[in-house]
Amino acid sequence: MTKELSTKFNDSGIKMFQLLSLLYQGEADFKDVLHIFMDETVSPGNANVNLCKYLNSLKVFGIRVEKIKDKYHAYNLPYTYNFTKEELESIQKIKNCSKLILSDKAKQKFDKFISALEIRYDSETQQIATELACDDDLDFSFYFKNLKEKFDEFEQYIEDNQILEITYVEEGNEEKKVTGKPIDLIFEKRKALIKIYNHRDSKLYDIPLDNIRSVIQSPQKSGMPVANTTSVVFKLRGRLAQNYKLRPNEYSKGTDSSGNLIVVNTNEDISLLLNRLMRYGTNCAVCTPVAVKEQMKELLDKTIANYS
Amino acid sequence: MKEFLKNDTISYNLMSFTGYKTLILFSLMTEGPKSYFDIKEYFENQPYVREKFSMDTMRVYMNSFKRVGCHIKRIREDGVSKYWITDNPFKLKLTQEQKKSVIKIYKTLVKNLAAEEIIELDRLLLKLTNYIADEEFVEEYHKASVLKKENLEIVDQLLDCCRAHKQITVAYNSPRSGIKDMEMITKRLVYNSNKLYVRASGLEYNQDTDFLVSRIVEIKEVKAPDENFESSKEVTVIYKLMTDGHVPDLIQNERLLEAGKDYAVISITGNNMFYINQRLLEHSSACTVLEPEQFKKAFVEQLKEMREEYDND
Repeated sequence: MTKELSTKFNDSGIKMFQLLSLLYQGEADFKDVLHIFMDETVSPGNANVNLCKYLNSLKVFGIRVEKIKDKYHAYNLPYTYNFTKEELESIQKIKNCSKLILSDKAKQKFDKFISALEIRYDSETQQIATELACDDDLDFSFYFKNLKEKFDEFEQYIEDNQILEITYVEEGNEEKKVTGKPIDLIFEKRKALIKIYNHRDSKLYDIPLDNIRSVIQSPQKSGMPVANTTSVVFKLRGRLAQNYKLRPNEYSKGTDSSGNLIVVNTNEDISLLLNRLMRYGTNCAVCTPVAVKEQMKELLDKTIANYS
Repeated sequence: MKEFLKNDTISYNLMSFTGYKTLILFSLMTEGPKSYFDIKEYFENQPYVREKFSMDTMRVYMNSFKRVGCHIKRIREDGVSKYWITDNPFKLKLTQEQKKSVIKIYKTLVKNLAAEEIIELDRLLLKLTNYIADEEFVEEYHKASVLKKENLEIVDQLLDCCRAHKQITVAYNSPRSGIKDMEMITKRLVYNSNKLYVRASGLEYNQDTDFLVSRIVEIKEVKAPDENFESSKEVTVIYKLMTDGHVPDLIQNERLLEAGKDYAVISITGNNMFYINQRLLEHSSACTVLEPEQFKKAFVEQLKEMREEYDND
């Protein structure tokens, strides 16, 4: 016959866990903490004495607890994580990036995660984190920090779902205009871009925020979905055909009779795509649509004209 | 009461002794599997406890742990039962929105950081997946990870080699000739077009080449670089770039020679003409090669050849 095991537990242990749970939240409200030690048989005065006893136990164990304005803060909690200097630098990059790309609401929630992570640093990690905070060189100056106001402005445009008329400049300070629906903010190769969908030509435009000269917000809201953007088909030859890694917005239609890889690209700014295809030189050619093929011809003519 | 530890002596009346022992036992059992004998010995020698600890007492503590949400695993090692807290209520948790934010930030950062930084970032996320133990987050991370197809051991070795510019021999799975040994002097890791490369001076062709890391099957030999090796002569190409008024983002082997209101004159130096050519082509009509003349001539010829492709339709 199997021996029945005891199901007894100790109340003090449970209370200690309840106290730790509150401390793991980063800030433990005095009232909530005291509540753990109160019941119908314990007066507030006795609950206070009990609380002090538990705080002393934490102290003997090596957990430092500070009370600041009715809130308890704990350091060196028992269950911790260890991170290397490099990992802490990555966390710093994540924190910096969050300031720029998350909406205020999402950022608030994300900060709670970071606090929860930081409170779990072991003593060695805390030491490194303090050293990193003192080191100016590691103050990761993220490339987009000067654009924060613009991010917020465009986040709002995206949320409002209103048609925008954007005036921006291209190379050679050439001014251009595009009207469309703001879709997304993208951060690539140290540039922040707004993706605009123009319903008239079904094209997507990625415009660097830095190059935007003016934005006019039309009262008209865009209810139309971004569905039928122009798909561009191009072929790749030689080693490139063998090594080409399809991007998330691409798929392959296999190879043609000459062994060229046929790629279908969607949802990409045509100008940026053509610049990328230019990089592949004679190993690449646009197949369809005719309009994009013409655009490529014009781009090549314009490039060749630089030498005439 | 606050000063009760002043002389390294404690009064048990002024602390919760059971609460204290709970902390010790929790700490021991989260470190790794511990037998009853390990724990008993620890308590008997612990300066503030120094008391016997029965199996029944230990069971009561473990019941308390379970009650608050700890998961205790029992394993048998050499006929002895060992207990280990594998999950506890203090583990880091992520809400749905926080998960989305972490992945969004990761995806943004990989598009903007250098290869070494991307590797560190990816490693951090991998570590977090272990700490957080949330299946959905693990899945999201694996979907987003740019290193998901890489052999992380090889990536680590390459990082070390690049830092010391070591000469290595690798088994490389070439798309043309299959697996073959290649010797190279490593320079740095490069993340480009969603792929991780090692930039190295290949001893076969005597020029800087980007080798796809995922094609490296094995690093067979690592040694100090051959002092007699001379990489092929570097060439400097000077080009004019029309700009939008901002200083262009230069790559490592480029130098800004002149900056005007809507243009910049840049030099690019390297021993691999293919990379220089690609870099200049990518600028398309914004770029005009200025010198050397020979390179400029070949560059224009290439552009014309590209254009002819569309005349043949």
